[in-house]
Amino acid sequence: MKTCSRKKHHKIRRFFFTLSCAYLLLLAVAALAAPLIAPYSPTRQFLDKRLLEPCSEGHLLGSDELGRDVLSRLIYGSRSLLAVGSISVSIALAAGLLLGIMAGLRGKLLGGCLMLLIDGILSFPTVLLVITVISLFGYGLAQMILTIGIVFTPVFARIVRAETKSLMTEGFVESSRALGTRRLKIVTRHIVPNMLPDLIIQATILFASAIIIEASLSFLGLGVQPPSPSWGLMLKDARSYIFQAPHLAFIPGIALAATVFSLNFIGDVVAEKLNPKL
Amino acid sequence: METFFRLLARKTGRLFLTVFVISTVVFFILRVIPGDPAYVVAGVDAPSEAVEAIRARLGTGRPVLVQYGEWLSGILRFDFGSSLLSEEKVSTLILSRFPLTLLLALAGMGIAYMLALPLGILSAVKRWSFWDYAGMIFSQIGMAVPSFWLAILLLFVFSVWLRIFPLFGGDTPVHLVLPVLAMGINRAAVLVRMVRTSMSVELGREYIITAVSKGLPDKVIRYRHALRNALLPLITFSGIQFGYMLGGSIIIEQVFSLPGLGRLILSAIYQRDFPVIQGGVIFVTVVFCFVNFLVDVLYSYINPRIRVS
Repeated sequence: MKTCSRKKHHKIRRFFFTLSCAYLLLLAVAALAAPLIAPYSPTRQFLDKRLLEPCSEGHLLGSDELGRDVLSRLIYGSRSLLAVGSISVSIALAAGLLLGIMAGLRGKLLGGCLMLLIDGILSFPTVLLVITVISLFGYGLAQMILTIGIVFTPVFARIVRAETKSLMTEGFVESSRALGTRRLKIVTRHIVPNMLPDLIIQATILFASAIIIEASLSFLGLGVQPPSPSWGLMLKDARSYIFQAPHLAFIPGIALAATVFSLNFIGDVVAEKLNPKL
Repeated sequence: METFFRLLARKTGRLFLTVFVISTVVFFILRVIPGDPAYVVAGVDAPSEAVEAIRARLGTGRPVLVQYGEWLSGILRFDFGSSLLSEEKVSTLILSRFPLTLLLALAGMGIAYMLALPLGILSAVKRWSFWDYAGMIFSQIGMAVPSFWLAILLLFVFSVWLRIFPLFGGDTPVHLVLPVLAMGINRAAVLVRMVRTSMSVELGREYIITAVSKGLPDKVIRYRHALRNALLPLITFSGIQFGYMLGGSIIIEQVFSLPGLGRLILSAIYQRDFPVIQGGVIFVTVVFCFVNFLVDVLYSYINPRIRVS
Protein backbone atom coordinates (compact mmCIF):
# COMPACT_ATOMS: atom_id res chain seq x y z
CA MET A 1 0.00 0.00 0.00
CA LYS A 2 2.67 2.39 1.07
CA THR A 3 5.00 1.63 -1.85
CA CYS A 4 2.09 1.95 -4.25
CA SER A 5 1.15 5.45 -3.10
CA ARG A 6 4.82 6.41 -3.14
CA LYS A 7 5.03 5.40 -6.76
CA LYS A 8 1.98 7.47 -7.54
CA HIS A 9 3.52 10.29 -5.58
CA HIS A 10 6.60 10.18 -7.78
CA LYS A 11 4.48 10.21 -10.89
CA ILE A 12 2.65 13.31 -9.74
CA ARG A 13 5.94 14.95 -8.87
CA ARG A 14 7.40 14.23 -12.28
CA PHE A 15 4.32 15.67 -13.94
CA PHE A 16 4.55 18.91 -11.95
CA PHE A 17 8.30 19.06 -12.52
CA THR A 18 7.83 18.95 -16.30
CA LEU A 19 5.02 21.48 -16.08
CA SER A 20 7.18 23.84 -14.00
CA CYS A 21 10.10 23.60 -16.41
CA ALA A 22 7.84 24.23 -19.38
CA TYR A 23 6.27 27.26 -17.72
CA LEU A 24 9.62 28.81 -16.82
CA LEU A 25 10.90 28.18 -20.32
CA LEU A 26 7.84 29.92 -21.74
CA LEU A 27 8.42 32.83 -19.38
CA ALA A 28 12.07 33.12 -20.37
CA VAL A 29 11.17 33.12 -24.07
CA ALA A 30 8.46 35.72 -23.45
CA ALA A 31 10.92 37.94 -21.61
CA LEU A 32 13.66 37.64 -24.23
CA ALA A 33 11.43 38.00 -27.27
CA ALA A 34 8.95 40.46 -25.74
CA PRO A 35 8.97 42.96 -28.65
CA LEU A 36 8.28 40.15 -31.13
CA ILE A 37 5.52 38.42 -29.18
CA ALA A 38 3.65 41.25 -27.48
CA PRO A 39 0.76 42.53 -29.59
CA TYR A 40 1.21 46.17 -28.48
CA SER A 41 3.65 48.38 -26.66
CA PRO A 42 3.14 47.93 -22.88
CA THR A 43 2.63 51.65 -22.36
CA ARG A 44 0.37 52.37 -25.35
CA GLN A 45 -2.99 53.65 -24.13
CA PHE A 46 -6.21 52.89 -26.01
CA LEU A 47 -8.30 55.45 -24.17
CA ASP A 48 -11.51 54.37 -25.87
CA LYS A 49 -11.01 50.77 -24.79
CA ARG A 50 -10.59 50.97 -21.04
CA LEU A 51 -11.18 48.06 -18.60
CA LEU A 52 -11.99 45.56 -21.34
CA GLU A 53 -12.76 42.02 -20.25
CA PRO A 54 -10.49 39.13 -21.29
CA CYS A 55 -11.10 37.65 -24.75
CA SER A 56 -12.17 41.02 -26.12
CA GLU A 57 -11.41 41.70 -29.73
CA GLY A 58 -7.76 42.60 -30.20
CA HIS A 59 -7.05 42.30 -26.45
CA LEU A 60 -6.78 38.64 -25.48
CA LEU A 61 -6.44 39.31 -21.74
CA GLY A 62 -8.40 42.56 -21.73
CA SER A 63 -7.15 46.05 -20.96
CA ASP A 64 -6.52 48.09 -17.82
CA GLU A 65 -7.84 51.39 -16.51
CA LEU A 66 -5.77 53.37 -19.02
CA GLY A 67 -6.66 51.09 -21.91
CA ARG A 68 -3.26 49.38 -21.96
CA ASP A 69 -3.16 45.80 -23.23
CA VAL A 70 -2.87 43.40 -20.27
CA LEU A 71 -1.16 40.65 -22.28
CA SER A 72 1.53 43.02 -23.51
CA ARG A 73 2.12 44.37 -20.02
CA LEU A 74 2.31 40.84 -18.69
CA ILE A 75 4.90 39.85 -21.30
CA TYR A 76 7.01 42.97 -20.77
CA GLY A 77 6.57 42.71 -17.01
CA SER A 78 8.27 39.32 -16.99
CA ARG A 79 11.42 41.14 -18.09
CA SER A 80 11.82 43.18 -14.92
CA LEU A 81 10.86 40.14 -12.87
CA LEU A 82 13.53 37.92 -14.39
CA ALA A 83 16.09 40.72 -14.54
CA VAL A 84 15.69 41.57 -10.87
CA GLY A 85 15.76 37.90 -9.93
CA SER A 86 18.82 36.95 -11.94
CA ILE A 87 20.92 40.07 -11.28
CA SER A 88 20.26 40.20 -7.55
CA VAL A 89 20.87 36.47 -7.09
CA SER A 90 24.09 36.74 -9.13
CA ILE A 91 25.29 39.63 -6.95
CA ALA A 92 24.49 37.64 -3.84
CA LEU A 93 26.18 34.52 -5.22
CA ALA A 94 29.37 36.35 -6.16
CA ALA A 95 29.61 38.26 -2.88
CA GLY A 96 28.61 35.20 -0.88
CA LEU A 97 31.28 33.05 -2.55
CA LEU A 98 33.96 35.63 -1.86
CA LEU A 99 33.00 36.22 1.77
CA GLY A 100 32.27 32.56 2.48
CA ILE A 101 35.59 31.31 1.10
CA MET A 102 37.44 34.05 2.97
CA ALA A 103 35.70 33.15 6.20
CA GLY A 104 36.28 29.46 5.59
CA LEU A 105 39.97 29.65 4.73
CA ARG A 106 41.16 32.37 7.07
CA GLY A 107 41.72 31.87 10.74
CA LYS A 108 39.38 32.31 13.60
CA LEU A 109 39.36 36.08 13.94
CA LEU A 110 38.24 37.17 10.47
CA GLY A 111 36.06 34.10 10.00
CA GLY A 112 34.45 34.55 13.38
CA CYS A 113 33.72 38.23 12.83
CA LEU A 114 32.27 37.59 9.39
CA MET A 115 30.07 34.81 10.73
CA LEU A 116 28.82 37.00 13.57
CA LEU A 117 27.79 39.61 11.01
CA ILE A 118 26.27 37.00 8.70
CA ASP A 119 24.28 35.32 11.45
CA GLY A 120 23.13 38.70 12.66
CA ILE A 121 21.76 39.61 9.24
CA LEU A 122 20.26 36.17 8.71
CA SER A 123 18.32 36.35 11.97
CA PHE A 124 16.27 39.20 10.52
CA PRO A 125 13.14 38.47 8.50
CA THR A 126 13.70 39.21 4.81
CA VAL A 127 10.83 41.63 4.29
CA LEU A 128 11.78 43.68 7.32
CA LEU A 129 15.40 43.81 6.22
CA VAL A 130 14.56 44.72 2.63
CA ILE A 131 12.28 47.55 3.65
CA THR A 132 14.88 48.81 6.12
CA VAL A 133 17.63 48.85 3.51
CA ILE A 134 15.33 50.40 0.90
CA SER A 135 14.30 53.11 3.34
CA LEU A 136 17.97 54.00 3.76
CA PHE A 137 19.07 53.75 0.11
CA GLY A 138 15.98 55.25 -1.43
CA TYR A 139 13.69 53.45 -3.86
CA GLY A 140 13.74 52.50 -7.54
CA LEU A 141 14.72 49.58 -9.76
CA ALA A 142 18.51 49.74 -9.22
CA GLN A 143 18.18 50.20 -5.48
CA MET A 144 15.81 47.25 -5.32
CA ILE A 145 18.24 44.95 -7.16
CA LEU A 146 21.13 46.04 -4.96
CA THR A 147 19.06 45.64 -1.79
CA ILE A 148 17.94 42.11 -2.64
CA GLY A 149 21.53 41.25 -3.55
CA ILE A 150 22.83 42.50 -0.20
CA VAL A 151 20.10 40.80 1.77
CA PHE A 152 20.71 37.43 0.09
CA THR A 153 24.52 37.52 0.34
CA PRO A 154 24.69 36.07 3.87
CA VAL A 155 22.60 33.06 2.83
CA PHE A 156 25.23 32.04 0.28
CA ALA A 157 28.14 33.08 2.49
CA ARG A 158 27.05 30.77 5.25
CA ILE A 159 26.72 27.73 2.97
CA VAL A 160 30.01 28.47 1.23
CA ARG A 161 31.88 28.83 4.51
CA ALA A 162 30.55 25.57 5.94
CA GLU A 163 31.33 23.68 2.72
CA THR A 164 34.79 25.22 2.40
CA LYS A 165 35.65 24.18 5.94
CA SER A 166 34.50 20.62 5.48
CA LEU A 167 36.03 20.26 2.00
CA MET A 168 39.41 21.53 3.21
CA THR A 169 39.67 18.50 5.49
CA GLU A 170 38.80 16.02 2.69
CA GLY A 171 41.50 13.63 1.52
CA PHE A 172 41.66 14.84 -2.07
CA VAL A 173 42.13 18.46 -1.02
CA GLU A 174 44.80 17.54 1.53
CA SER A 175 46.73 15.49 -0.97
CA SER A 176 46.50 18.28 -3.49
CA ARG A 177 47.84 20.68 -0.88
CA ALA A 178 50.61 18.24 -0.03
CA LEU A 179 51.60 18.26 -3.68
CA GLY A 180 52.09 21.99 -3.40
CA THR A 181 49.06 23.26 -5.32
CA ARG A 182 48.48 26.94 -4.74
CA ARG A 183 45.54 28.00 -2.63
CA LEU A 184 43.72 29.84 -5.38
CA LYS A 185 43.93 26.80 -7.62
CA ILE A 186 42.62 24.53 -4.86
CA VAL A 187 39.67 26.85 -4.43
CA THR A 188 38.82 27.02 -8.13
CA ARG A 189 39.61 23.38 -8.89
CA HIS A 190 38.30 21.51 -5.87
CA ILE A 191 36.31 23.66 -3.51
CA VAL A 192 33.96 25.61 -5.77
CA PRO A 193 33.01 22.77 -8.14
CA ASN A 194 32.18 20.52 -5.22
CA MET A 195 29.73 22.90 -3.65
CA LEU A 196 28.09 23.90 -6.91
CA PRO A 197 25.05 21.61 -6.58
CA ASP A 198 24.11 23.07 -3.19
CA LEU A 199 24.58 26.58 -4.49
CA ILE A 200 22.37 25.92 -7.50
CA ILE A 201 19.55 24.65 -5.31
CA GLN A 202 19.85 27.65 -3.03
CA ALA A 203 19.97 30.01 -6.02
CA THR A 204 16.71 28.55 -7.35
CA ILE A 205 14.93 29.06 -4.05
CA LEU A 206 16.34 32.57 -3.60
CA PHE A 207 15.33 33.41 -7.17
CA ALA A 208 11.76 32.61 -6.16
CA SER A 209 12.05 34.83 -3.06
CA ALA A 210 13.58 37.62 -5.13
CA ILE A 211 10.59 37.50 -7.45
CA ILE A 212 8.16 37.77 -4.54
CA ILE A 213 10.16 40.68 -3.13
CA GLU A 214 10.25 42.41 -6.53
CA ALA A 215 6.49 42.13 -6.83
CA SER A 216 5.90 43.18 -3.23
CA LEU A 217 8.16 46.23 -3.46
CA SER A 218 6.69 47.29 -6.78
CA PHE A 219 3.26 46.82 -5.25
CA LEU A 220 4.27 49.16 -2.42
CA GLY A 221 5.60 51.66 -4.97
CA LEU A 222 9.20 51.15 -3.85
CA GLY A 223 10.39 49.05 -6.79
CA VAL A 224 9.74 49.38 -10.51
CA GLN A 225 8.37 52.86 -11.16
CA PRO A 226 5.41 53.50 -13.47
CA PRO A 227 4.82 53.54 -16.37
CA SER A 228 7.29 50.62 -16.71
CA PRO A 229 5.38 47.36 -16.70
CA SER A 230 5.78 45.12 -13.66
CA TRP A 231 3.46 42.48 -12.28
CA GLY A 232 3.60 44.04 -8.82
CA LEU A 233 2.63 47.42 -10.25
CA MET A 234 -0.21 45.86 -12.25
CA LEU A 235 -1.55 44.38 -9.01
CA LYS A 236 -1.18 47.73 -7.28
CA ASP A 237 -3.37 49.41 -9.89
CA ALA A 238 -5.78 46.49 -9.93
CA ARG A 239 -6.54 46.92 -6.24
CA SER A 240 -8.55 50.07 -6.95
CA TYR A 241 -10.57 48.42 -9.74
CA ILE A 242 -11.49 45.25 -7.90
CA PHE A 243 -15.21 45.92 -8.45
CA GLN A 244 -15.15 46.85 -12.12
CA ALA A 245 -12.36 44.63 -13.41
CA PRO A 246 -11.31 41.78 -11.12
CA HIS A 247 -9.43 40.12 -13.99
CA LEU A 248 -6.78 42.82 -13.62
CA ALA A 249 -5.98 41.36 -10.20
CA PHE A 250 -6.27 37.72 -11.23
CA ILE A 251 -4.06 37.56 -14.30
CA PRO A 252 -0.76 38.98 -12.99
CA GLY A 253 -1.31 37.24 -9.66
CA ILE A 254 -1.75 33.82 -11.24
CA ALA A 255 1.31 34.38 -13.44
CA LEU A 256 3.33 35.42 -10.40
CA ALA A 257 2.21 32.54 -8.19
CA ALA A 258 2.89 30.06 -11.00
CA THR A 259 6.42 31.41 -11.42
CA VAL A 260 7.23 31.17 -7.73
CA PHE A 261 5.61 27.76 -7.49
CA SER A 262 7.63 26.44 -10.44
CA LEU A 263 10.93 27.68 -9.03
CA ASN A 264 10.23 26.33 -5.54
CA PHE A 265 9.11 23.01 -6.94
CA ILE A 266 12.14 22.59 -9.18
CA GLY A 267 14.39 23.52 -6.26
CA ASP A 268 12.70 20.90 -4.08
CA VAL A 269 12.94 18.13 -6.65
CA VAL A 270 16.58 18.84 -7.46
CA ALA A 271 17.44 19.00 -3.75
CA GLU A 272 15.79 15.64 -3.20
CA LYS A 273 17.65 14.11 -6.15
CA LEU A 274 21.00 15.33 -4.85
CA ASN A 275 20.47 14.48 -1.18
CA PRO A 276 18.32 11.34 -1.05
CA LYS A 277 18.50 11.44 2.75
CA LEU A 278 16.03 14.30 3.02
CA MET B 1 19.06 28.25 38.52
CA GLU B 2 22.32 30.16 38.70
CA THR B 3 23.23 29.19 35.18
CA PHE B 4 19.85 30.47 34.09
CA PHE B 5 20.58 33.92 35.47
CA ARG B 6 23.97 33.93 33.84
CA LEU B 7 22.27 33.07 30.56
CA LEU B 8 19.77 35.85 31.15
CA ALA B 9 22.59 38.33 31.68
CA ARG B 10 24.35 37.19 28.53
CA LYS B 11 21.20 37.48 26.43
CA THR B 12 20.47 40.95 27.82
CA GLY B 13 23.99 42.03 26.91
CA ARG B 14 23.52 40.71 23.40
CA LEU B 15 20.17 42.52 23.08
CA PHE B 16 21.81 45.86 23.90
CA LEU B 17 24.72 45.12 21.59
CA THR B 18 22.35 44.39 18.69
CA VAL B 19 20.37 47.58 19.26
CA PHE B 20 23.62 49.55 19.44
CA VAL B 21 24.93 48.03 16.18
CA ILE B 22 21.64 48.65 14.35
CA SER B 23 21.39 52.27 15.44
CA THR B 24 25.01 52.83 14.44
CA VAL B 25 24.46 51.29 11.01
CA VAL B 26 21.30 53.33 10.41
CA PHE B 27 23.06 56.53 11.51
CA PHE B 28 26.09 56.07 9.32
CA ILE B 29 24.27 54.84 6.22
CA LEU B 30 22.13 57.96 6.21
CA ARG B 31 25.33 60.04 6.43
CA VAL B 32 27.15 58.07 3.75
CA ILE B 33 24.39 58.42 1.17
CA PRO B 34 25.63 60.92 -1.40
CA GLY B 35 24.10 64.35 -1.19
CA ASP B 36 23.11 66.58 1.67
CA PRO B 37 19.87 65.24 3.18
CA ALA B 38 18.75 68.82 3.66
CA TYR B 39 18.82 69.34 -0.12
CA VAL B 40 17.06 66.02 -0.64
CA VAL B 41 14.26 67.12 1.68
CA ALA B 42 13.93 70.69 0.46
CA GLY B 43 14.60 70.00 -3.23
CA VAL B 44 17.71 70.92 -5.19
CA ASP B 45 16.60 74.39 -6.18
CA ALA B 46 15.15 75.39 -2.82
CA PRO B 47 16.12 78.79 -1.38
CA SER B 48 19.19 78.58 0.82
CA GLU B 49 17.30 79.74 3.95
CA ALA B 50 14.93 76.76 3.65
CA VAL B 51 17.86 74.37 3.25
CA GLU B 52 19.59 76.01 6.20
CA ALA B 53 16.48 75.62 8.34
CA ILE B 54 16.16 71.93 7.55
CA ARG B 55 19.86 71.44 8.16
CA ALA B 56 19.44 72.96 11.58
CA ARG B 57 16.45 70.71 12.27
CA LEU B 58 18.32 67.60 11.17
CA GLY B 59 21.44 68.80 12.92
CA THR B 60 23.59 67.77 9.98
CA GLY B 61 25.73 70.92 10.11
CA ARG B 62 27.69 69.87 13.20
CA PRO B 63 30.60 67.41 13.57
CA VAL B 64 29.62 63.81 12.89
CA LEU B 65 30.75 62.50 16.27
CA VAL B 66 28.64 65.06 18.15
CA GLN B 67 25.64 64.07 16.05
CA TYR B 68 26.36 60.41 16.69
CA GLY B 69 26.50 60.91 20.46
CA GLU B 70 23.22 62.80 20.46
CA TRP B 71 21.66 60.18 18.23
CA LEU B 72 22.57 57.34 20.62
CA SER B 73 21.46 59.21 23.73
CA GLY B 74 18.24 60.13 21.93
CA ILE B 75 17.52 56.47 21.24
CA LEU B 76 18.05 55.57 24.88
CA ARG B 77 15.53 58.27 25.83
CA PHE B 78 13.15 57.11 23.08
CA ASP B 79 13.54 60.44 21.32
CA PHE B 80 13.95 60.42 17.54
CA GLY B 81 13.36 64.11 16.93
CA SER B 82 10.26 65.36 15.14
CA SER B 83 8.76 64.78 11.71
CA LEU B 84 9.92 67.16 8.98
CA LEU B 85 6.41 67.42 7.58
CA SER B 86 3.96 67.42 10.45
CA GLU B 87 6.33 68.72 13.15
CA GLU B 88 4.95 66.05 15.48
CA LYS B 89 7.33 64.10 17.69
CA VAL B 90 8.39 60.86 15.99
CA SER B 91 8.00 58.88 19.21
CA THR B 92 4.38 60.05 19.58
CA LEU B 93 3.65 59.15 15.96
CA ILE B 94 5.14 55.69 16.41
CA LEU B 95 3.29 54.98 19.64
CA SER B 96 -0.03 56.05 18.15
CA ARG B 97 0.43 53.74 15.14
CA PHE B 98 2.10 50.75 16.74
CA PRO B 99 -0.83 49.11 18.62
CA LEU B 100 -2.64 48.34 15.35
CA THR B 101 0.46 46.75 13.81
CA LEU B 102 1.11 44.74 16.97
CA LEU B 103 -2.48 43.55 17.00
CA LEU B 104 -2.26 42.50 13.34
CA ALA B 105 1.02 40.68 13.91
CA LEU B 106 -0.13 38.81 17.00
CA ALA B 107 -3.52 37.86 15.57
CA GLY B 108 -1.89 36.82 12.31
CA MET B 109 0.52 34.62 14.21
CA GLY B 110 -2.37 33.10 16.13
CA ILE B 111 -4.13 32.20 12.87
CA ALA B 112 -0.90 30.85 11.39
CA TYR B 113 -0.28 28.50 14.30
CA MET B 114 -3.94 27.48 14.50
CA LEU B 115 -3.79 26.38 10.87
CA ALA B 116 -0.28 24.98 10.78
CA LEU B 117 -0.14 22.94 13.98
CA PRO B 118 -3.04 20.53 13.32
CA LEU B 119 -2.26 20.18 9.63
CA GLY B 120 1.46 19.70 10.21
CA ILE B 121 0.97 17.15 12.98
CA LEU B 122 -1.58 15.20 10.94
CA SER B 123 0.76 15.19 7.94
CA ALA B 124 3.61 13.82 10.01
CA VAL B 125 1.53 11.22 11.83
CA LYS B 126 -0.33 9.98 8.76
CA ARG B 127 2.32 10.05 6.08
CA TRP B 128 1.20 9.73 2.46
CA SER B 129 -2.41 10.07 3.57
CA PHE B 130 -4.98 12.56 2.35
CA TRP B 131 -3.95 15.00 5.10
CA ASP B 132 -0.32 14.75 4.16
CA TYR B 133 -1.14 15.66 0.57
CA ALA B 134 -3.46 18.43 1.70
CA GLY B 135 -0.69 19.83 3.88
CA MET B 136 1.90 19.65 1.12
CA ILE B 137 -0.37 21.22 -1.50
CA PHE B 138 -1.42 23.94 0.93
CA SER B 139 2.16 24.80 1.77
CA GLN B 140 3.40 24.74 -1.83
CA ILE B 141 0.59 26.96 -3.06
CA GLY B 142 0.68 29.16 0.03
CA MET B 143 4.38 29.83 -0.41
CA ALA B 144 3.87 30.73 -4.05
CA VAL B 145 1.09 33.23 -3.42
CA PRO B 146 2.47 36.57 -2.20
CA SER B 147 0.67 37.89 0.86
CA PHE B 148 -0.59 41.02 -0.87
CA TRP B 149 -2.16 39.06 -3.70
CA LEU B 150 -3.78 36.69 -1.22
CA ALA B 151 -5.16 39.80 0.48
CA ILE B 152 -6.59 41.08 -2.80
CA LEU B 153 -8.13 37.66 -3.48
CA LEU B 154 -9.71 37.60 -0.01
CA LEU B 155 -11.05 41.10 -0.64
CA PHE B 156 -12.56 39.92 -3.88
CA VAL B 157 -14.18 36.81 -2.43
CA PHE B 158 -15.44 38.21 0.89
CA SER B 159 -16.05 41.87 0.13
CA VAL B 160 -16.93 42.07 -3.55
CA TRP B 161 -18.47 38.69 -4.19
CA LEU B 162 -19.97 37.47 -0.90
CA ARG B 163 -20.14 40.93 0.68
CA ILE B 164 -19.50 39.59 4.19
CA PHE B 165 -16.70 41.95 5.13
CA PRO B 166 -16.31 45.65 4.33
CA LEU B 167 -13.83 46.84 1.74
CA PHE B 168 -10.73 48.73 2.87
CA GLY B 169 -10.77 52.12 4.52
CA GLY B 170 -11.40 51.61 8.23
CA ASP B 171 -9.88 50.03 11.30
CA THR B 172 -12.87 48.61 13.19
CA PRO B 173 -12.56 44.94 14.26
CA VAL B 174 -14.54 43.83 11.19
CA HIS B 175 -12.01 45.58 8.98
CA LEU B 176 -9.21 43.61 10.58
CA VAL B 177 -10.52 40.11 9.84
CA LEU B 178 -9.30 39.89 6.26
CA PRO B 179 -5.84 41.41 6.87
CA VAL B 180 -5.25 39.03 9.75
CA LEU B 181 -6.43 36.08 7.65
CA ALA B 182 -4.16 37.08 4.77
CA MET B 183 -1.12 37.33 7.05
CA GLY B 184 -1.96 34.16 8.93
CA ILE B 185 -2.58 31.94 5.91
CA ASN B 186 0.57 33.23 4.24
CA ARG B 187 2.77 32.31 7.21
CA ALA B 188 0.92 29.05 7.91
CA ALA B 189 2.13 27.75 4.54
CA VAL B 190 5.73 27.93 5.73
CA LEU B 191 4.93 26.76 9.25
CA VAL B 192 3.10 23.59 8.10
CA ARG B 193 6.33 22.32 6.62
CA MET B 194 8.28 23.05 9.76
CA VAL B 195 5.75 21.39 12.03
CA ARG B 196 5.69 18.36 9.75
CA THR B 197 9.50 18.05 9.64
CA SER B 198 9.91 18.64 13.35
CA MET B 199 7.21 16.09 14.20
CA SER B 200 8.52 13.43 11.80
CA VAL B 201 12.03 13.82 13.16
CA GLU B 202 10.75 13.20 16.68
CA LEU B 203 8.61 10.25 15.58
CA GLY B 204 11.71 8.61 14.12
CA ARG B 205 13.77 8.82 17.31
CA GLU B 206 14.80 5.87 19.45
CA TYR B 207 12.70 6.74 22.46
CA ILE B 208 9.63 6.37 20.28
CA ILE B 209 10.67 2.83 19.37
CA THR B 210 11.12 2.13 23.07
CA ALA B 211 7.69 3.56 23.81
CA VAL B 212 6.14 1.44 21.05
CA SER B 213 7.81 -1.75 22.26
CA LYS B 214 6.67 -0.94 25.80
CA GLY B 215 3.15 -1.18 24.42
CA LEU B 216 2.09 2.43 25.01
CA PRO B 217 -1.02 3.51 23.12
CA ASP B 218 -0.37 5.42 19.88
CA LYS B 219 -2.09 8.53 21.19
CA VAL B 220 0.15 8.76 24.24
CA ILE B 221 3.26 8.23 22.13
CA ARG B 222 2.29 10.84 19.59
CA TYR B 223 0.87 13.59 21.70
CA ARG B 224 2.58 13.18 25.07
CA HIS B 225 6.01 12.11 23.92
CA ALA B 226 6.66 13.19 20.36
CA LEU B 227 4.60 16.37 20.18
CA ARG B 228 6.09 17.92 23.32
CA ASN B 229 9.57 17.51 21.95
CA ALA B 230 8.55 18.56 18.47
CA LEU B 231 7.14 21.83 19.79
CA LEU B 232 10.41 22.96 21.35
CA PRO B 233 12.19 23.99 18.14
CA LEU B 234 8.99 25.69 17.02
CA ILE B 235 9.10 27.94 20.08
CA THR B 236 12.52 29.30 19.16
CA PHE B 237 11.16 29.90 15.72
CA SER B 238 8.12 31.86 16.86
CA GLY B 239 10.28 34.94 17.55
CA ILE B 240 11.42 35.06 13.94
CA GLN B 241 7.86 34.38 12.83
CA PHE B 242 6.83 37.48 14.74
CA GLY B 243 9.39 39.44 12.74
CA TYR B 244 7.94 38.10 9.50
CA MET B 245 4.54 39.20 10.75
CA LEU B 246 5.82 42.74 11.40
CA GLY B 247 7.28 42.87 7.90
CA GLY B 248 4.16 41.33 6.38
CA SER B 249 2.04 43.84 8.21
CA ILE B 250 3.80 46.70 6.39
CA ILE B 251 2.59 45.24 3.08
CA ILE B 252 -0.87 44.21 4.25
CA GLU B 253 -1.60 47.59 5.84
CA GLN B 254 -1.01 49.10 2.42
CA VAL B 255 -3.50 46.72 0.77
CA PHE B 256 -6.26 47.47 3.28
CA SER B 257 -5.34 51.14 3.91
CA LEU B 258 -4.90 50.49 7.62
CA PRO B 259 -3.24 53.27 9.63
CA GLY B 260 -0.51 51.16 11.25
CA LEU B 261 3.22 51.61 11.76
CA GLY B 262 3.94 50.13 8.32
CA ARG B 263 2.02 52.86 6.54
CA LEU B 264 3.73 55.49 8.68
CA ILE B 265 7.14 54.19 7.59
CA LEU B 266 6.08 53.82 3.95
CA SER B 267 4.69 57.31 3.64
CA ALA B 268 7.82 58.61 5.33
CA ILE B 269 9.88 56.81 2.69
CA TYR B 270 7.82 58.36 -0.12
CA GLN B 271 8.14 61.84 1.38
CA ARG B 272 11.75 61.46 2.55
CA ASP B 273 10.83 62.30 6.10
CA PHE B 274 14.17 61.12 7.51
CA PRO B 275 13.50 61.36 11.26
CA VAL B 276 10.35 59.24 10.87
CA ILE B 277 12.16 56.67 8.69
CA GLN B 278 15.01 56.37 11.20
CA GLY B 279 12.75 56.23 14.20
CA GLY B 280 10.34 53.76 12.62
CA VAL B 281 13.05 51.42 11.36
CA ILE B 282 14.87 51.40 14.69
CA PHE B 283 11.67 50.95 16.65
CA VAL B 284 10.60 47.95 14.56
CA THR B 285 14.00 46.27 14.80
CA VAL B 286 14.21 46.87 18.55
CA VAL B 287 10.75 45.38 19.04
CA PHE B 288 11.77 42.39 16.93
CA CYS B 289 15.02 41.91 18.87
CA PHE B 290 13.21 42.25 22.18
CA VAL B 291 10.61 39.63 21.24
CA ASN B 292 13.39 37.27 20.19
CA PHE B 293 15.14 37.92 23.48
CA LEU B 294 11.94 37.01 25.36
CA VAL B 295 11.50 33.87 23.28
CA ASP B 296 15.12 32.85 23.90
CA VAL B 297 14.77 33.28 27.63
CA LEU B 298 11.44 31.48 27.67
CA TYR B 299 12.89 28.65 25.64
CA SER B 300 15.85 28.15 27.91
CA TYR B 301 13.47 28.24 30.84
CA ILE B 302 11.15 25.54 29.49
CA ASN B 303 13.80 23.34 27.97
CA PRO B 304 15.21 21.27 30.82
CA ARG B 305 18.29 20.37 28.80
CA ILE B 306 19.39 24.01 28.77
CA ARG B 307 18.07 24.86 32.23
CA VAL B 308 20.08 22.15 33.93
CA SER B 309 23.33 22.11 32.00
